Amino acid sequence: MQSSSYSNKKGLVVRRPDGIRGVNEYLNNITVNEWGRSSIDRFLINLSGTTHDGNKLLEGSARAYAKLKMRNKKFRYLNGSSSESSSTTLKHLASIGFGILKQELYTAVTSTRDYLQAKNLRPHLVVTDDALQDFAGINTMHPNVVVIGYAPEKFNYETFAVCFQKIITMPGKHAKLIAIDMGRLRDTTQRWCFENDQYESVAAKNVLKTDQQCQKYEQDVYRAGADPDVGTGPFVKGLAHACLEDDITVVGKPSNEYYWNAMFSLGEEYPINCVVIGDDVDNDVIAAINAGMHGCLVKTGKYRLGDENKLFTTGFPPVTLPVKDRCLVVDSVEEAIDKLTQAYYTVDSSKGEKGLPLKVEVWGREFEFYRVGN
Amino acid sequence: MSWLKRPVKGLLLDISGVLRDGDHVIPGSLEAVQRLQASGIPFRLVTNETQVTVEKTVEKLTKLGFTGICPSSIFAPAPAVAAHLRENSLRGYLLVHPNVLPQFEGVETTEPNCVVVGDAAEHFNYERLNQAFRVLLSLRDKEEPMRLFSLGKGRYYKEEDGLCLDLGPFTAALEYATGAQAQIFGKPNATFFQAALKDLSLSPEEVVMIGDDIVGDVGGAQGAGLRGVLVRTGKFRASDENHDTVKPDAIVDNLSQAVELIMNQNL
Repeated sequence: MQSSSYSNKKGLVVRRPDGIRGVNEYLNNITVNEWGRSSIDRFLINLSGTTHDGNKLLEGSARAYAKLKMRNKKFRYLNGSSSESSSTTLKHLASIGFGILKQELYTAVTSTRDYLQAKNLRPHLVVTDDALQDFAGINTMHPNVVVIGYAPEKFNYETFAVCFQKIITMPGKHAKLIAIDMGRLRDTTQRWCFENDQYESVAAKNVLKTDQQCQKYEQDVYRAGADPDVGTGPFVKGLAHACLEDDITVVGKPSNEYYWNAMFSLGEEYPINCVVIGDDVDNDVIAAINAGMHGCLVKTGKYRLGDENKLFTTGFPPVTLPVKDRCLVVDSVEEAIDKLTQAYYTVDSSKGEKGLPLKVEVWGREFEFYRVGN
Repeated sequence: MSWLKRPVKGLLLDISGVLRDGDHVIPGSLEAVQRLQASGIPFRLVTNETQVTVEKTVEKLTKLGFTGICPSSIFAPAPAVAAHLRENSLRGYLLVHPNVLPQFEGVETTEPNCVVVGDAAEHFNYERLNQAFRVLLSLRDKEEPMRLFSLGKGRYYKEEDGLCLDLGPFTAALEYATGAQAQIFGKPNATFFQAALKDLSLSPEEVVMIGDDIVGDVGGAQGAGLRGVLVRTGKFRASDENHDTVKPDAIVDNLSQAVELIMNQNL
C-alpha cells in the first residue's frame, strides 16, 4: 500500500494507506490480519455529545466502557476542548458518574503539549489558567511559537499586543502561530459555568432528531435560544493578519495531529487500525477519515437527521461519497463498541466456529463473519 | 526622478509617521509644511487616526508648532462613517475608542443593525467583540446584509516605543467569525482618497500622496490613480524597500526631502 508519513520525535511514524486501492485492500482484509484478529483495535471515543451531554451520561456509555476493559481493548476518551485541563475533565466526568482513569483520557491540550515536545518548541501560551496546569514542565523561556486556546478572559488588546510583539521579533522561518482550535463558535453544546463549577447543557437537546432538514449545527443552537459565543478561531485569524503569518498550525480537534497524537499515546503507528467514535459528522468522523482512520457516527449530541448522507471527498485519487459509505452509523457508543469488538472473527468460514455466520453491513457492504473466539 | 515628470498640483499627506512621531515633530516636517503653505500648492492631511476627534488632532498639531491647520484640512474615517450611518438611518454598534464617540453624535446606537470597528485599543476585549459578533449573526439570521464598517484595516502603527497593534486584526477576526466582508472607510480605500481629491478639485494624476505605510498610504493612493511616495520615517521598515506588491513612485528619507524635490521640479 502507498502511504504518507508524519513522524513525531519518539520515532513513531504514521503509516496510512492512500488511494482507493489501499482502501479496497483494507476492506477485503477488514477483519483479518495475519493473526486472525480484527484489525480495528484502537478506539478513540469522543466525550462531549457522544458519551455525555452536559451533566447527563448518555445511555450505554458506562456499559461501553466496561466492555472495552473486559475485552481488553486499547482506547482513549477524547476531549476536544482547548480551555480545559485533564484534571478538570476527569473531575467533571467523575461527578456525573463516569470515573475513567487519567491515562484513559486524551485532550486537545495534551495533544498540544505532545506536539510542542515532539517538535522541540518553546511556547508563549495564551490559554486559561486551568489549561496552563497541563503545560507544567514545558520550557517557556525565549519562546519561538505562540500557542492560543479558548481563553476569553485573556482575549483582549493587551494580550494580542504582546503576542504580536513576540511574533515579529521571533527569529526563524517556521510557522509561529499554533491554534489549539480554530472554531468560529465556542463549543456550544456546553457552557462552563464558573459560578456553579459545573457544566450546563445548552438547550441543544430540544432540536435533536427533528424532521427538519439537516441544518448547520451552529445555527440550530443559536435558534434554540442560546446566545452564541465567538470562539478561538477569529482571534487567531486576527493575529495572523497582523503578523502576516499565513501558516496557522492547528493541533487540536479536528486536525490530523490531534488524532495522530492520541494514537501515538496508545503506542500505535497505523491510523488504519484506529476508529474514532463521535457525534459530529465534520469534526469527528470526516476528520478521522482524513487522518487515515476509521470513523463511526453516533446519533446523539450534535447529530442531525441526514448527517450520514453528507457528501465528502477523500482518498487519492479523490472520490466523493456519502459519509455512511465509509463509516459505521450507530445509535449509541455501546452499539459501536459491540459491533467493532465482536469476538475475533474472520470472513474465512473454514477457520470459524460452526454455526450460522453473523451478517453485518459495514461500509455499505455486507460481510459474513465467523466467530473465532475472544 | 520620473515621478516628477508630471506636475504636482496638490498633495495628500499622512500625519502619523510623516508630520509627527508620537508627541514629537519629525525633523524638517514643520519647515516642509510651511514651505508648502507659502508656495500655494494645496494639500490635505489624510489620516486613519480613530482614537481622537478631528478637532483634537488639529489641537495636537498646533501644539507641536504647525500653523494654519484647521478641521477642514483633515480627512479622517470616523466623520465619513458617521455621515454614512446618519444618511442611511443605520443604528450602529460602535466598537470605537470613547474619545472618538463625539464624532458619532446623532447616530442611533440602540438595537444596532451594523457594526463599526475603530481603533479601540485597550477597549477591545472579549465581551465587546462577542457583542459585535452577535449583532452580525443576528443580521445573518434575519437575512439582512451583515454590515461591518471598519475605519481602515491597518495591521500596526508606530508609537514612540515601537509598533502597536492596529484595528485591522479585530476586523479580520469578525470577518472570519461571520463570513462578513468589511467595508473599509479610510486608507487604503479608493473612495476615501477620491473624497480628498474632490475637496482639492484636482484629478488623481495631478496629486501625490506622501506616507509611511507602504500598503495603506502608498498602495492605496496608487490604487486611486495618484502617485505614492514612501518616507523612511514612522512605521517604515527596511523590508518595505522591496515590497512584494507595492512599488512606490519614490522612496525618500522624509517629508522635508520630498517637498524639496517637488519644489525644485516645480520651479
